[in-house]
Amino acid sequence: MVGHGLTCRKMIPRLLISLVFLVAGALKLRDPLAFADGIAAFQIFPGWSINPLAMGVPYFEIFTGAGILFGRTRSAAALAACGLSACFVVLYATALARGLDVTCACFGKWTLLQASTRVGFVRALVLLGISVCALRGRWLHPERMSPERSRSDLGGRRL
Amino acid sequence: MRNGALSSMARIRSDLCVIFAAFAASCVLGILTNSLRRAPLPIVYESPEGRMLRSVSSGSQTIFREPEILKFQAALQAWKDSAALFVDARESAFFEEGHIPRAINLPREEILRAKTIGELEDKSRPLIVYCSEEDCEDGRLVAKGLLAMGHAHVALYAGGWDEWSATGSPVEK
Repeated sequence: MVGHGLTCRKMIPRLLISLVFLVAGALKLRDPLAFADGIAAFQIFPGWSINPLAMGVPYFEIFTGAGILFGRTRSAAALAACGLSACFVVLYATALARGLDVTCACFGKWTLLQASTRVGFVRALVLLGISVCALRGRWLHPERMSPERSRSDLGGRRL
Repeated sequence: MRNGALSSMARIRSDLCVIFAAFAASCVLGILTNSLRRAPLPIVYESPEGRMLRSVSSGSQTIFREPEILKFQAALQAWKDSAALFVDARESAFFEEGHIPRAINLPREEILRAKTIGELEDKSRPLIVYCSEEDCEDGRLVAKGLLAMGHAHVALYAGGWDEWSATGSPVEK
């Protein structure tokens, strides 16, 4: 990968965000009920949407984490990571504004990573920052990329 | 310049398609794997309180009562006199870090285990349930569950572990 000209500055945010989403998704899959309770604690989602979200979001996080590692899906996965992180930021911001004490099961029941609303908000902001770093250059400035790489990212289609 | 804009548009469209496909695949995979679980999630969410009370209820006749609330001094006196059994409603990891001496651990998810705990066989024995702090919902839920299971005297020490340990009262690790 280094041979393809990727610098550490670009690699580190990708690896970090990939690791975070892979671990978070895998831990949520182990205990979807705890994750469903975590979603419900935000008191935003209607009852019918909570369990389907608890079933689907862990896989989406795993796809996102894995997608960032592969060139063909990297920009879409980085965009998905930004979207997910932005959702987390908005959820925590609304919880803070309403004075809710949300102990998010973002990493399942792994008590080491359970966080209060304030800590969760800061963590979501950091995650959003790293996701934007992973997205930068791939999606925000595609004209800076070589035509070959740009074509490969679009599945080889000519523009 | 125009090629750059077209490239950006195509990239956005392509990325959104990939994201949509991944999300759809995640939902399908999630529903499929959920149906294969030993205890699958129902499609409609049920709150922890609803789940717990349903698990302890013995039919439509079950009456759910609210526990009596105890202040710190009353709880401390009951502990000194060994007048009640203390029940720690926090998760086992927190219980192992420290708890009120002689307390037993009974987290909300394990409420049905109460039927097999020797100390809880005598349903006339006074019980004092506590959790981490006043806002901790699990203490109230476990107390309500124990009342529904037929225990006659169940009180809730609202201040919980945070207040107990902050006042320098005896602790066990």
